[in-house]
Amino acid sequence: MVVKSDFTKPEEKSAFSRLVTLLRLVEGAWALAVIDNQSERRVSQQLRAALDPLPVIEVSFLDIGPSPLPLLRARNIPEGSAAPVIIFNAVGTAMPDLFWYIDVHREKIAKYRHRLVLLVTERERLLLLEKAPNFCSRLSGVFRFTRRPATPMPIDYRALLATLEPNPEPAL
Amino acid sequence: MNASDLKASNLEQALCFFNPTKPLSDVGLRLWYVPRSRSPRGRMRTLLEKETEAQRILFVGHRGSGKSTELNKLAEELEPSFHTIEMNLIDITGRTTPEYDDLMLAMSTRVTRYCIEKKLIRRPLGEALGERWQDLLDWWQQLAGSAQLPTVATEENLSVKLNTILGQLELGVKQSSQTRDRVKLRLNQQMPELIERLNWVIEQAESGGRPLLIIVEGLDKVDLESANNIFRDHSPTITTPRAAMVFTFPLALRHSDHFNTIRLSFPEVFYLPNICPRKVDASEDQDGLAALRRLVLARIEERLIMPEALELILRNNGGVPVWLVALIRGAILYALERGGDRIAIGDAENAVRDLLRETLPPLSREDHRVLRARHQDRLLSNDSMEQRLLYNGSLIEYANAVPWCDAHPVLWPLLEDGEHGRQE
Repeated sequence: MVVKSDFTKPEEKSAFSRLVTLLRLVEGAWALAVIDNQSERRVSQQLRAALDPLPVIEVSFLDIGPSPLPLLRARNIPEGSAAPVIIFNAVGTAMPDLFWYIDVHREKIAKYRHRLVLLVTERERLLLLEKAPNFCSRLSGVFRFTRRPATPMPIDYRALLATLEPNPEPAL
Repeated sequence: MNASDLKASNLEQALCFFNPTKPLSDVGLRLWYVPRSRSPRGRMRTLLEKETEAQRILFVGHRGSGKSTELNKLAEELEPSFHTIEMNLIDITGRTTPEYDDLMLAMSTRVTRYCIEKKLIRRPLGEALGERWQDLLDWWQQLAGSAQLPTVATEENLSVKLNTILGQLELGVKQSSQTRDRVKLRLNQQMPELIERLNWVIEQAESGGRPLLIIVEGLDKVDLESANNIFRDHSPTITTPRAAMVFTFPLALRHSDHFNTIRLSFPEVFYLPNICPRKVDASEDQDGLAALRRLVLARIEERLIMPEALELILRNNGGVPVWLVALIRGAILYALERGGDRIAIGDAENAVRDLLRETLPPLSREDHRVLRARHQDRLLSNDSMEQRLLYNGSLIEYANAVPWCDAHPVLWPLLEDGEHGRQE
């Protein structure tokens, strides 16, 4: 399956190709896209282009609050229509309440056909894995678009979270 | 879905068939369910069917071990002999800190609504029965009371009216903490009345010949203090409904000091073990590996995955079905990326690497120390640090011998590589 993008680093190219393939083929998939200040906008734009004609909706947790459920309810998918891709940004602004909503309500979220992508920083990825394990155990994949690789283990968890780069500016 | 769709015949199809977001149910359950030799489902079924007294069962298992799938299968198998009402307490209440009265309210509304919708309760035709119906309706209306519920449109049918009130009550309690508090205050003063009315509904429903079974999920995910409140402190109340009941139960409480107290009210506790790819002496468990292989090949034609790739995945998922599904899905994505028509060893290796680097919870140095010790001695205890690691999935419990544990297999290179086992 050929997926075009302008990512040049092999790891990012691979991650993008696999993420697009997943989102194209699987309704109801959940994915984390690990981004940084430089890649966030690019990932969103490239996804929108690569997934066309699948509808792609970008949503900020700053606008909707920490629960994705009301949005999923509101974005009802007509019978026979392709489920849209929903890209959530500003994930960090919804923490810590977000952990509770997605972990507690994962069964409800799973009932919707929407394809979900959460754009998260490395810090947010670590927090999600720690604080929302029930949701994260159901992820279809984690796809990385950052300059630095995944934090190697074992880690000095608290010190590391204090030194990781702050959340990127919310997308305008 | 028909028989020809039973197994994926290409990787694109396989990607859809390996879905980690949902347990098997309905069509998926009929097509892909694979019996597990150590599942307690058969014993639970025997107990429920053979015992004349309604049973109260606790069902325990790790996250991702397949509890919901096993309960769905149990409900399917019991369908000829039971009316099964499945409910998720967290979904209904929207709370991870429910109290015993939240459980009782949720059970009562759900059971009553189910019985109304399935027409299991005799219609309020005769005078005596009509009075009883009116009493039920009046009681629920006063419980809902000045909770800000929309006025029920006038309806002739008492049961329909009651169903509407109960639905609105569930919604009101979930959406508004004020409504919840008001209703609970009233409920706590009238708990015997609630139980009496619930038992009347159960009696009416069972008079048709099939008993009720209530399966309450979600209690394995609630706050531990809440779970103690419900199971230890209020077991006399939550066991008063005269129907068979199965509750999911937090794994961490199984190893707590309170468990013996809880067992007094719940003598029947069934544990769903993880599938065992290995034995406690680290040798391979061929039965366990065969079971994992069956889980995969139930959904995908064997020609779509090279044998060595399958073996690598079977040895690296830890015997936990949700990780098995995640590894297969990850490997399929790598195969599709390179344009392959089947999963090769490199795809499996990449999926295993991603599981370690991106999906397992982060580990501190102390976690690492404990995991390395357990990887060496495989001794299971109720130490709080180990319980936390069991909870986050980096430590896995097995039961193909005296219960034992080991670190998740993808962590082994990290744990075996010197003092600190630093990941490359």
